[in-house]
Parts: sequence; structure tokens; C-alpha cells
Amino acid sequence: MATSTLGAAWLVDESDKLNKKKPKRIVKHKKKAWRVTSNVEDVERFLESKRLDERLGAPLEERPSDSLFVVDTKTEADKTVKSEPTKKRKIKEIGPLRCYAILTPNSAVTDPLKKRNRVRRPEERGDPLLRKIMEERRANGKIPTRFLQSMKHHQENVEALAKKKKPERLRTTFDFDLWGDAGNSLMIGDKKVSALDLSDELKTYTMEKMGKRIYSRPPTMFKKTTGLKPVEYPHPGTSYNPTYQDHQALLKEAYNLETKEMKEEVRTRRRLGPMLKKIPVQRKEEDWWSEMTQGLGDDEEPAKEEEEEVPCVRPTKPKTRKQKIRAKALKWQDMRRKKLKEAKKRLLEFDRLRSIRREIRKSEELTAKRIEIRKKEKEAKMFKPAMLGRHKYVPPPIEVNLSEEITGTLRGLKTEGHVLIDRYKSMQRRNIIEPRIRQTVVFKYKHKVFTKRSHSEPKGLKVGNRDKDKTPVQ
Amino acid sequence: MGPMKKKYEAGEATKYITRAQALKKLQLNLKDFRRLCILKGVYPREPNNRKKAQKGKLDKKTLYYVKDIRFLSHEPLIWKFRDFKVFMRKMKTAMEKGDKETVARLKENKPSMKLDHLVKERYPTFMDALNDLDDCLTLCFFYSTLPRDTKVPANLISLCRRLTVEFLHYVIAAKALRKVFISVKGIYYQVEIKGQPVTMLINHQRGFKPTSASDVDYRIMTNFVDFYTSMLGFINFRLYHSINLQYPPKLPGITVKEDATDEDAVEEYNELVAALNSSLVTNVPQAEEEIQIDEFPSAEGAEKLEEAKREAEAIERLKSLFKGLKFFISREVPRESVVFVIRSCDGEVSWDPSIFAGATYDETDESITHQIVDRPSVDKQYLSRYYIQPQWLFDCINFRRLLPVEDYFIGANLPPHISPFVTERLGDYIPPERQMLLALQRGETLPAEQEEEEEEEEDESEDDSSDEEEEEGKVEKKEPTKSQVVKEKKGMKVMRGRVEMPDVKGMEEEDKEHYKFRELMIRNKDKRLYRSMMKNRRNREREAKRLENKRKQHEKEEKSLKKSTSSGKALTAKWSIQPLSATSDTQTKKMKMM
Repeated sequence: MATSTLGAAWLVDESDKLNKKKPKRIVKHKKKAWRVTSNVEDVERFLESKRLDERLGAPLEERPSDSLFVVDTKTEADKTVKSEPTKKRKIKEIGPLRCYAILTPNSAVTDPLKKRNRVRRPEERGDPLLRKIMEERRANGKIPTRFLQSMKHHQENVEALAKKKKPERLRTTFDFDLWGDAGNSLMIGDKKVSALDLSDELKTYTMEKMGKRIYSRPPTMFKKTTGLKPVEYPHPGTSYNPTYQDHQALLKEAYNLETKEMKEEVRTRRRLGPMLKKIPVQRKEEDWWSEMTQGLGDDEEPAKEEEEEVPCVRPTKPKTRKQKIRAKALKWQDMRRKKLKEAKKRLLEFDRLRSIRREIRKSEELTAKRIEIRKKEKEAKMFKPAMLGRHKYVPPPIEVNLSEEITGTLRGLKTEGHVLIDRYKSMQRRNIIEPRIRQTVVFKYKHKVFTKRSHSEPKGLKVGNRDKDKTPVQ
Repeated sequence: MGPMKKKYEAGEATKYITRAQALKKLQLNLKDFRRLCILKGVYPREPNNRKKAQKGKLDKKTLYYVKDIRFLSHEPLIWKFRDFKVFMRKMKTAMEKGDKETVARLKENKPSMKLDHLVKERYPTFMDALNDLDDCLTLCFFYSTLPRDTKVPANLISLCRRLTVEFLHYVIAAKALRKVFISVKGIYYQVEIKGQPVTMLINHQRGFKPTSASDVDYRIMTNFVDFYTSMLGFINFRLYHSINLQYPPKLPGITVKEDATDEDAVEEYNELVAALNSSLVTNVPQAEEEIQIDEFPSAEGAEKLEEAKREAEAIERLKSLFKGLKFFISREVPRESVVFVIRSCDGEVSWDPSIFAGATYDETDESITHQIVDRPSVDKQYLSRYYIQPQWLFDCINFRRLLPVEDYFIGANLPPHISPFVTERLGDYIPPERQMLLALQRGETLPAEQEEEEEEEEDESEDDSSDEEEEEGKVEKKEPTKSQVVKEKKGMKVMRGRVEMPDVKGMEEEDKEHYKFRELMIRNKDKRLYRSMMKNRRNREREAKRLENKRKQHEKEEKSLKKSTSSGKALTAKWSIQPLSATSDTQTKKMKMM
């Protein structure tokens, strides 16, 4: 044991020698040293606790128990079951949220800077002496009329605002005659002007001079777009309890339409049939290849041959003076000859006067006929849907009950068609709205493809290599 | 010679503007532009020469008149659209920030627009507006039946309902209903307002049928309805004042303040108004005055005048058709249309209070004359009243006369419901039911005959079914008998002194000869036209004859069938071909026909 201890002591001594630093010497009689040497932990602890008390108020032990607890002595009356409070009300009841409450200052320490500049509360503002006088007066029941009046006005304003009707989003009250005087003033847009005893022209003139011009509706807008009736009279066969003949007639119409459609379908299928053959994928690919490589292999050689063969174009030689004169003379001659011929023809036409008259009459008749035809066409056009846009008007299918669907009673009536579709189609037929096919917008976002940086080295020039790349070019 | 003219700088090319150009000019988006066009009544136009109008471009574009678009650009409504755009932007920002206060404040000050000036601008006179009422009414009636959860704003639906009910009240008060037709699509009503016929189509009261987006664009139709509600409101105002009614309609005896906070009370009141069962409060008690047609002495117009007089009389009769009758409606009958029809012909009506508010008397009331029933049988029947099917009402109105109730009894096979909207040309085939309707409309009375006689005669007529051209005779033979209203006294005999009859035959011959001469006198120019006209007429007559024979054949078959099946039954289907007798025989025949 002894040896071991000795050994240990020896070891310790070694390490001490190596690591030991000299302790700093402190001058003890100087004030500076007090901080280092004296132990003030208890004082600091006391001060800390005092500060805490200042911030949070008195410690819980010192507070009276009344401020902490409530003794519940009353029995609670049966409360009516309230409906679930709304979110707004809930917040009001709970108070500000905890996340906000933490942020508010809650120190009980008064501001040490008494003259700190801050916003005065209303009761602190103004001359304190005056305020005191005012308060005394108010206590005596003397309130200035100015103040009373302003309060009254304020109250009135609030009431008026509450009473004021909001502008209707949709007009629901109809309380004047639009085609009477009120309507006229509405169109003129100025009550004073509309009330004047003037002609309409003068009124519009006045408005123009006032800087409020009235724009009149172009007369073409009053013209009807069609000769069709807005609500067409129904086919008698559409009655819920039709006569036999009427119903058959309507059925026949519908049948004809259907057969026509079917025929068309058969026809298109027959025509398109050979085009819609099935082709195996392999052949398709082959075709594609052959199509795409068309003329690639044997393109170059013939092109060269062509180049060799093409003769060079010689520039045109300008006409000589002689040639020019000759050409001019020829032209003059030609003209003279033509004129002569014309004159001769005219002379000859004297003999032909009667036949000319006949010709004129004929042409006039033709024009009259054409005018009539065009007029008729124009009238007929009024009863057909016009081509207003890209799409053609498609008539709705005929609404008809089949023979076995007719029950003959109002209760068992099977309805056909839809009033709104009927209206929509009717408006298209009457050229009020253009027929269209509803477009659905499909947002096609481009698929963005990129490789991860970590996955592959970025392409492009590196900054360090720039010079290397440049050198071979130079 | 001036400077060379460029292409497309004059004429047709300057008259039109494409839609895209119009959008750019007005600085609106397509949605707003469509809306503005609908509200202002600007329609796309088809040019006479499309290539010129599109400045050489060949694809088909939607074109508008340049003048129309220029006129649109002065519309103050465009500014409202822009305001609304800004409003929506602000709302969106506030919503996405979760700024509820701002959202509430913005909503309070939502920009609104009025369309009054547009109504006045498009229809400068009241008659113009009446001319265009058909579309307006049909659409408003449809929108009033929409369920609340469609894309259409709910307040628009309720407004449509209110306005249409008000209009129905007007029709009832003015007794303006003229024709009714129940079709498969809906019910057609024709109303006469200030001498102007207005036709409207009201859909059957079945469940809401949804439509696919490719069928109808609701947004467009809602724009139309937006405008039409304003229009209908002002028209209603004017119409009510024209017959001294208070507008908005007020029921006598019940008072509800307009600004009442109790929503239930207001709704109840609205329902009572919608019941259509009580007349409204008038401003001034009206004095009944009979309209007398002024007589102008004119030689050739005498016949027309006579006709007009008869027409006026028939309408007067129609106005008080159901006067003094008391109806009760069963549960299965479409209430609104039936009540509307009865009340607009001066009848009294009530229903089971559990269906709808506003019932005035109970089913047990002994003074009820007619009960309208649409089911095969009723357990407890009162002896004091007729149990009839609803078609009777509609047919009565079309015939302008009370029809015999026997054909419309409960469970009976109804006579066909004929369209009152058909007009025939000379020589067209007119089915016997229609012939009768025409005769009745012309104001001829139903002659009373014995049923047995009639049956016999019918048999006879079938026997000699060769030439029966006279409409009148046929109609008279087919007359139903026990009409309870129209009674003619029999046995009155006042003998007159005989007048020497002129030589009728000779005169006719002479007439024919004259006619032939006149035909000869036709100019060569017009001869072809005349011939084609006559040919067409003959064709039509032949077709009519064919159909008539077919009809006779059909009826004969039906009769034999009936005799074989139920000989004992006293089913009096007088003008009847029943399309649904559901016998296999007739059906196969129909199929063959097709």
C-alpha cells in the first residue's frame, strides 16, 4: 500500500509541476478588490426577488386570500342551454388570445423617467384649471348648448344612416311609370331640363350645350332581326291528348327526320369505312420511316446534275430607237383601225334600231325579274336562321309522345322537351344570339424536366476553363 | 382622277366590325361584352357579302354593325362593369388576406346598376314593350320555377316568381285570357292586352329537369332574365294602373307593412297573393261599361263588321264563362294553372288547404257545382256536383262556351284536346272536332237533339259515306245533347207566309258560267300562277278527302271494336278517336302507318 501511495504522490507532484499557474495576487486594501473578494450573493438574490416582486406584484404568500380565491356560496340558477357561440363571440368571451397576451408589458414598476414624452389620455389633456372648472359646471348641471346640439346632430346622423336604403343589387321596387313623365326625365338625365316646356330637339340641344350629350339609338337597332314569332304556335300533334291525324302527322315528321339522320350516318360510315382500316403498329412505324426519309438518300446527286444543266439567263437587250418607232407606229395603226370599225358598226346599227329596242326591253325585264327574286329571297331570309358565327344553327329534335306514351289524362302526361332549351334555340333561330359550342378551358401546364445537381455534373463552361476554351479559337 | 382607292376602305367593309375588334374598342372582356349586348339589344349581323365585310378573310366571324358598337361605347353601364371589376379585385385581395372587416365593408358598398333607362330606350312606347312580352314572360315563368340551388342567384328567382304572379293577377282582373293549349312541352296561354295578343309558354309543374352545359348556357339566359325582370316590373306597374289596381298588389282585408321585420309574415302574405284566389284592392271603384263597336257605313265592310261584332260578343261571353260556378280542385290537379284559368273566366275556386294557402271553402261545401278530379275514381262522391277532368276547363275556354260535362266525367275517355292556334287554308282537311270548335267560335249555338236520333243519323251518314262536304250539317249531327246551360226551347212554331222561291238551280248554273268566263279573261301573264294555285288547292282537297275517309274508316273500326268489347257500356265518346285505346290492333296499324 505504501509503495503505491508513494508512487501516486510522486506522479501527482510531476503533474503539478507541469500545470500549476501562479495565483494572481490581489491587493486587498483597494476598493477594486472588494468586488472580487467579497461574497454578495445573498444581497443579489434579495434584490432579484425584489425586482420580481415589482414586476409581478406581491408574492402569493403575502397577498390576501380574497384576491386569489372566490368562495362560491350561491347556488347557480339553471341556465338556458345556449346555442354554440359563434367564433366572434367566443373570442370576445375568452379575451385576447394567449399568444398576444404574452407580448403585452405586465411590469408593476412605474416608469422611472417621469418626463417621458407620451400620448396623453383625453382626461389629461388641456389646461387642468379649465378642466376643473368645466367639471364643476357639469356637476352643477350646466352643459353648453353647443355640445348638446352636436350630440343631437350626431344621433340624427347615425339614425339616418341606419335608415338609409341600400341601393338594390336587383331592381325589385317599381314605383313609377316608365312610359310617363318620369321615364322621359330618366332618358334625358336631367330633371330640370326634362321639366322645361320645350320640344325634344331643344331639350337634347340644351343637354349638349350643358356638356351632357344624349346619344340616340341607331335606327337599325329597332329593326327586327327575324320574321319569326318569339313563341311559335305549337303543332297540334303536341297536344297531351291529340287527335289521331295530328299526332300521326307529327310522328311522321319526326320519323322522316330520324330516317334522314340515320341514312346520313350509314352513308358516312360507308364512305369512311375503307379509310378506317386497322394497321399493325409495326407497319405504321415502317410507313412513318419511309415517309420521313423520302428523298433523303438520293437527294444530293440529282441536285448537282440539275445545277449543271441549267443554262444561264441572258439579260434582255434594250430596244433600239428604230424598233421603238416602229412599234409606236404599229400601235397607232391598230387604234385607227379599231376606231374605224367602231364607226362602221355604229352606222350599221341604224338599221338595227328595232332589234336594239327589243334587246333593251328584254334586259330591263330581266333586271326587274332579278329585283323581284332578290326581294323574295330577302323576305325568305327573314324566316331562316342566319349564319352569325362559326357554327351553324342546329334545330332541336321534335318533341312528340309516342303512341303508347299518350295516356290521355293530365296526371299521366309524359313531358317532352325543356322550356329553357326551347327558348335558347328560339333565340338562336331568331338571330338574337349566335349559336356556339361551349368551350371548356383546359389548363395545360408544361412539364418542367430537370436533373438534380447532385445527380449529374452541370453542363456548360466553368469559370476556370474559360481561357482554355478561348485559346484554340485564337 | 383622284388618288387610287384602297380595298376595304369603303362600302360593306366599313359597315361591320368583328367581335374581337369590338372587345378591344370597348375595353371589355367577352363575358361583359355579351352581357352588355344582351342588355342593350345589340345583335350580331350576317353581312350580304362576308368576304368584303371581313376585309378579305374567309373564316366565319361574328360581326356587328360598327354603328351599334359605337353606340354601345356611350353606355354608362360600361363604367359600372369596370367598377364591378375593381370591386371584385378588392374583394379577392381582402378574402385572401382573411380581412373580414374589409370584406364586410366592401360588400356593403357593392356597386349596383339599374336597367330602367335601357327598358325605356329599347321600348320607347308601351306598345313596343307589349310586342316583345312573349319572350319576357316565358323566360320569367321558367326562372320562377327553378330550384334555389341552381347557379342562378336566389333573389332573381324569387323576383321572377313575384312578377309573374303579379302578371297573372292582372290577367285575372282584366279577364284577358283568350286561348289555352296543353302541349307536351308546357301549357300555352294566349292573353290579349290592349288588343295585342301575347302568347306565353309555361312549363308543367314537374320536377326540375337539369340540362347539360352543351344544351343551354345559363349565364346568357340569366342576363336576359335580368333585363326582363326590370321590363316586366314596369309593365306590371303600368298594366295595374290601367285597370285601377294598386301596385304592388294588395289583398283586401289583410295588411302587412312593407318594411315588416317578421319574415314569416311577409312570406305568408306573398303566398296568399300567389294563391291567385282573391281579387286585389282597387284604387277607384270601377263602373262596368259595355264596349260598343262604332258603326261606319261601308258597303263591302258590312260582312266584316258583322264578323267583328260576333267575335266581340264571343269574347264577352268568354270573360264571364264560369260565372256563378263553384269549383273545387282535388289534390292531384295542377293547382296554379287551373285556378288561373277558372278565375280569369270569373269562376269561384277553392282547394284542399293542405296543398296551398288561400283556400276559401271546404270540400264539404254543398254549393260546389264542379269538382275537378284527375284520377280514375273517387270514393265519396257528392250528388250535387259534377266530377270532371281538368281538360273540360281548357276546352271550354277554347270553345268559348260551356261544353257538356258528360264527356269529361271522371274516368271517361276524354275527347282529344285540340290546338286553338291552328289556322286552315281553303281546301285543307279539318278534323270534325276542329270543325266544331270553329263553328262554336263563330258563335253558332249548340242545337239540342236527342241522343238516339243522333246515333241513328251517324250510322246513316256512315252508310252513304261518299259526298259529305257540308261542314255545318256534319257538325250539327255530331252535336252532344244534354247541355245543361244551352237550352233551346222546342215546339215554338211561328209559320210564315211562303215566298216564291227563285230558280236556284238556274242561278247556280249561270254563276258557274260566269265564273268560267272570268277564268278565260285571265291575262296570259297570270295564267300560270292561277293554274298552279288551283292545282294546289285541288291537291289539298284531295288530301283532305283521303284523310276524311281514313278517319271514317278508323272510327268505324273503333266502334266495332267497342261493341265487341263492351257493348253494354254507355260510353259516349262522340267525337272520339282515342289515340290510346291501347288495343294491339290499332297500335300495329299505327306502326304500319309510320
